[in-house]
Amino acid sequence: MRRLFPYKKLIILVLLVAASVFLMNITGSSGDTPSLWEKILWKGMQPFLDGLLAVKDKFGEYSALFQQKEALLQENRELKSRLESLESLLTRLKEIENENRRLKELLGFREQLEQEYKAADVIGRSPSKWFSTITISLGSADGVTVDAPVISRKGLVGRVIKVDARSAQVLMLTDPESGVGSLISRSRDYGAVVGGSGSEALVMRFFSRDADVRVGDEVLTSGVGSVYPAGLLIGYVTEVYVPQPGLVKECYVRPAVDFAHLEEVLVMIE
Amino acid sequence: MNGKRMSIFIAYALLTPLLLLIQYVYLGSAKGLDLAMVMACSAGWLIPLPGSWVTGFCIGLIQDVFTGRALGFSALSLSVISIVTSQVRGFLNPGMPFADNIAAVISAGVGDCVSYASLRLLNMAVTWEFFARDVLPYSLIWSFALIIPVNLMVSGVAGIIAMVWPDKKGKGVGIASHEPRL
Repeated sequence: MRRLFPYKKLIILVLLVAASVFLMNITGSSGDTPSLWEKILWKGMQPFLDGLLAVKDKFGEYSALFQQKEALLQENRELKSRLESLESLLTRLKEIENENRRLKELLGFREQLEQEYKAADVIGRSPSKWFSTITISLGSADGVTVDAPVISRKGLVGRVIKVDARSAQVLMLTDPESGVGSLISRSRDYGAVVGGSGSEALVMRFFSRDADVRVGDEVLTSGVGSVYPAGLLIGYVTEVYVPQPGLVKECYVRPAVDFAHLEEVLVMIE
Repeated sequence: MNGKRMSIFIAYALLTPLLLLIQYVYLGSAKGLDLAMVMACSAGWLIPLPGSWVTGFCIGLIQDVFTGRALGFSALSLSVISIVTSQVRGFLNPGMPFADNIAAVISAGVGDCVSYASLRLLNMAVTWEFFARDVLPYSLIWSFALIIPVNLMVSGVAGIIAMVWPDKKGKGVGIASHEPRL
C-alpha cells in the first residue's frame, strides 16, 4: 500500500486524462448530427438560455423606450390636443345641426304667414321670478317697433314693450301685466287671456256668462284691439270654473308655447 | 368707515351686477332662481343694521334696473329680506350649523310675501296658486342651498379688496358667518 502512495499523483493525473478522453469520445458529435450527450446538455440548458434571452430582450425594450420617451410624450400630447379639438368640433356640429332643424321649421312656418316676420334669437331672460320678459336680438334698426307681436312656430309669445337699436324686450303672455283679446275656436265666444299664473298656465276671462267652453278647446287671438292679428294660437283649455257665484266663467289655458325653453322667435315687422 | 367695511360693500357692488348678468344670459330657465334675493340674504347675514338694509335696498334697485319694471319693487322686498336676516341672526347662534341657511329661508319667505302683497296692491294679476306653487317653494329651496356659497364668495372678494384697502389697525380680514361681525 505504501508503494502506491508515491505514485498517487500520477495515478490521479492518468485517471483524469482518461476520463476526459472518454468523455470526449462519447459526447463528440459527428458532422451535422448532434450527439446524444449534446442533445441532453442543450435541453437542460435551454430554459436558462431562454430566461437570459428574455431578460436581454426586456432590457433592450426599456432601453429603447427610455431613449424614445421624449418623442412619445410629444406625440401623446399632440394626439390628445387633436382629440380635444375634434370632440369640441363634434359638439359644435351637433348644436349647429339642431339649430338648422329649428330654423328650417321656423322658416317653413313663416312662409305660411301673411304678415312679414323676422326671426330673432332669445338672448336674455328677466332675472325676476315675478315678471316674464325676454330680450331678443332684433331692434329698431331691423324694423322692430313697440307693440309688435312676437310668435313662435307653436303659437303666440307676446309683444314688444321696449326697443333699442339692436335688441328689444318682449312681454310674454305669462307676465302679470299681459293681456290678449281671445276667443274659443269652436264656439267663437270672446274673452281675454291674462298672465300671472306661472309659465304653464294662463287664465281666460269670458265676456259672456253663457260662454260655451270645454276642456281641450283651442284658444286663439280674436284680433280685437290693434296689437295682435286674429287667428294666432294661444293655447288649450285645461279647466273651466266659476271663480265666485254670479260671476262669469273663467278657464285655465295651457300655453301652446314652451316659454321656459324659447330659443328663436318671429317678430312682426311693419 | 374703515377699509374692512368698505371692502364688503364694494364686494356686493361688484358681485350683484355680475351675478344678475350671469342669471340673465345663462340661467334664465332655472325655475324660481333669484340670485338677487340670495345676495340680500347674504348682506343681512354679513352686515349689521342699518348697513344691511341699505345694501339690500341697493341690490333690489340694481335688479329693478335689470328688469326694467316697477322701479322700487325689488328694492322694497330685498331691503325687507336683509332686515329680517339681520334680525334673525340676532336670535340665532351664528356658530350653529345651518344658522345662515335657516335665517335665509325665513327671510326669503317673508320677502316673497311682501312682494306678493306689493303686486296685488299694484293691481297686477298674480294668482295665489302661482305664488304658493311656483314662487315660494323655489325661493325657500334656492335661498337654503345658495346662502353659504354666496357668503363665501362675498367674503373671498371682500378679503381680496381689503388687502388693497387694509384696516387702519392693520388687522386681518376675517369675514365669515361664524366670526365676529364687522
